[in-house]
Amino acid sequence: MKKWILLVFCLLTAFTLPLAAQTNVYGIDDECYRYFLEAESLLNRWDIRDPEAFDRAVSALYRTAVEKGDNKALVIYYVQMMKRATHTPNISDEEVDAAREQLCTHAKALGYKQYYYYGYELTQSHYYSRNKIAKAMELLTELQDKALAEQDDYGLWTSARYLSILYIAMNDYQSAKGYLLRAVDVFNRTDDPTLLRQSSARQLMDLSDCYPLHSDSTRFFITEGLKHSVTLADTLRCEYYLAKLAAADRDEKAFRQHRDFCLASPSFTEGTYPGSRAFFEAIEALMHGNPDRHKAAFDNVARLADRRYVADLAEEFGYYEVSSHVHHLMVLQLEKSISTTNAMRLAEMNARMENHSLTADLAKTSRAVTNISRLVVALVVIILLASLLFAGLHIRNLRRRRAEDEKHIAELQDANDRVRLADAAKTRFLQNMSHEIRTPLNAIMGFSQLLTLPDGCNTEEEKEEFGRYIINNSNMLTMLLNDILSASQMDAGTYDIQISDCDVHEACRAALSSAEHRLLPGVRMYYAPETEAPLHFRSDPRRVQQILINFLTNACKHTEKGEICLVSSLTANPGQMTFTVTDTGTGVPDDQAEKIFDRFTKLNEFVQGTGLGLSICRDIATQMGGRVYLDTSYKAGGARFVFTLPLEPPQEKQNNA
Amino acid sequence: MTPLYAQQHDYSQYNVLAVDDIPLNLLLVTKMLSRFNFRLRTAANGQQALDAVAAEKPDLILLDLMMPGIDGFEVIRRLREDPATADIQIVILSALNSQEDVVRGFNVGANDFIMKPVIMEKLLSCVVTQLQIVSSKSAEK
Repeated sequence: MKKWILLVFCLLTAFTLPLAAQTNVYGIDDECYRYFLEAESLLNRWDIRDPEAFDRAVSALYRTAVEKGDNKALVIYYVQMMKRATHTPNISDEEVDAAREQLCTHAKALGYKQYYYYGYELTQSHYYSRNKIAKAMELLTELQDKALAEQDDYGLWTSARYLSILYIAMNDYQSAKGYLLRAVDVFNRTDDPTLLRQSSARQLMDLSDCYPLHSDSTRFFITEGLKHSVTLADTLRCEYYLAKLAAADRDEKAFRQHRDFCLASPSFTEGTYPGSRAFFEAIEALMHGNPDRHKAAFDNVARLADRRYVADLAEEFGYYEVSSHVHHLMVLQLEKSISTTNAMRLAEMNARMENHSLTADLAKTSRAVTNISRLVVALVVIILLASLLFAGLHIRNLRRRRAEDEKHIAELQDANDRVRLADAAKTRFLQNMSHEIRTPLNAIMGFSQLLTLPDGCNTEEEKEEFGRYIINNSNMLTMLLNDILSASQMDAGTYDIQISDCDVHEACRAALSSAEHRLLPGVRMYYAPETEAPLHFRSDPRRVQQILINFLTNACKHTEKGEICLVSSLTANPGQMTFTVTDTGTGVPDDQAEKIFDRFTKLNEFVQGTGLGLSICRDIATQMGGRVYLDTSYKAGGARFVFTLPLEPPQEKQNNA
Repeated sequence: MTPLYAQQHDYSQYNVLAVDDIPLNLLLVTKMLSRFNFRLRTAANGQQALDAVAAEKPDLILLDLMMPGIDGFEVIRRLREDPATADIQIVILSALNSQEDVVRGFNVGANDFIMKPVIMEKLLSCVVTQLQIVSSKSAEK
């Protein structure tokens, strides 16, 4: 029966082969495809049948691919070169890596991603077949990292897939389960068309192996795998798993059905599942209850997974000895495939992978910490700078403020000095004033007392004399008080000027008689108008008199001999009435010409007077729009004081305007 | 009681010096003291006063304070420094009337202080007192 099925299959294959030859699966140029098949056919499992012919074929493939501009064919060339490397016994890992590099570079550059990953597949299978599990794992981890970095689903799927296979080969179903689930997950999530052309059936089937024999998950994954089956290989695999399931369920009929389907395919028995005949034979022996008669079969089960299954099944069926024997064989197989060095390297790899993930976490954390610490440092620096800046600004502020303060202090000191001077001046003035007031008062009171003595004490002459003294001093006192009052009025702004008709001659003569009492003996004082004709102008006669009296009394005080002359003139300054008082007295030094008009300044400290007079005169004159000044051009000995007034006072001018 | 100006005193042995820079004041003092028959000299400033003292030592000096050049205080001080003139009775006649001036006057060695404007009775009684002091002093000697 078996032989018949085999024959039919072979015939089928024979018929389909030429068909297959015509429709090349890669869709590349037909000539290229021919060369590919030629090279492919020269490949044995572990080596190349005819290396030279192979080389010729691949060279031809290359040439034609370049000629025809067939990029896929070019990539296929590199695939073949890869296979050449992996099928060369005693080839170095470096050469394999170099060939893979070539393939990967070109596949990526020309956009055939699946061949990029195929390069990794071939390499890791090369390592695995030579029991270089650790190296294979290294490679796959590298691939996984690359895929993670590029967020490439195909890469993730491939690396997870092959890692799961490696772990299954090491009997580590826990780790395998993890990767299988990841591969399935990636596959289900992806929208990568290249990936979607693949099938996740194998992963699902392999997952079913990760669970105990009778678990629901086993059944579930097998069903899922069936659903996702795409290729013949997938179907065969399904049948294989279904056979295993049937055997576990002790369903002999179903088992045989699935087993026969599997055994009918040569690719199954020789390629993917070597030792499958022995496997099925062992299972059947267990089911029939005669394992002892099929001892050879148990020994010839090739795959580790199959041995595990057989061992589990034997244990379940109660054949403990068989189970233990197969377990032992498993251990031996594992020991062989994972040599001590490899085991150490594997352990090292594992450790490194854990380390790697730990490092990754650590890196992440440390990066966060670094970031935070950098942030903190930055903040601290900023705060420092800010505080330095602030301090600098503050210092500058302080300095500026100090400079300002110093300036302020200096100003205050100046003001203080001025105040003190003013104060001193005022005190002097007050002292002076007190003295000035008391002096005429003294005369008035004294001579009054003398006058009131009973008859006989004073002569008639004396009485007259004393009376005169009293009157004069009363006048002086009045003038003094007027001056003081005027000064205070000026200060308060309440000084009043009443414009009326002013008779110039009358004012001058009155001023003269008022000042007479100060006249020192031997000095002549007189009025010399420019013209004797009546002279009138609009002004305040009281104020005019005040100024003239002041001038005259000053002249009297300072003139011991000679004369004092009062002159009035219309022509001296056009538009102005000019009064001049000229004396032959002590005169005024040029540098004092302006100072004498200052308040409280007396040319001679001890000449009787308050020192108000000239400053009052100036204030009054200014109020009336006129001028008082010392004529510094008069050098004939003595002093000449000038007082000018506009003929039309500004107040009236304003009213008339 | 008879006012002083009406009383007759014989002060002919005394000589008095009056010092003031304002002539009117000197005139006033002279007139007020005309009842007394002592010799009365006058000086117009501090320097003249000192010269007059040097020429003939007075029994009593009536001294104004505010004078040009050497003022009243300085005159007193100099007179008191010199033992020859330290015992002259000095009465200040001044318009300066602040506490400070009065105290200062006494401190430099004045015997009395009369404020201007002068009250005649006050001046007369003061002069009488001072001359009595002079007479009692000379009596001691």
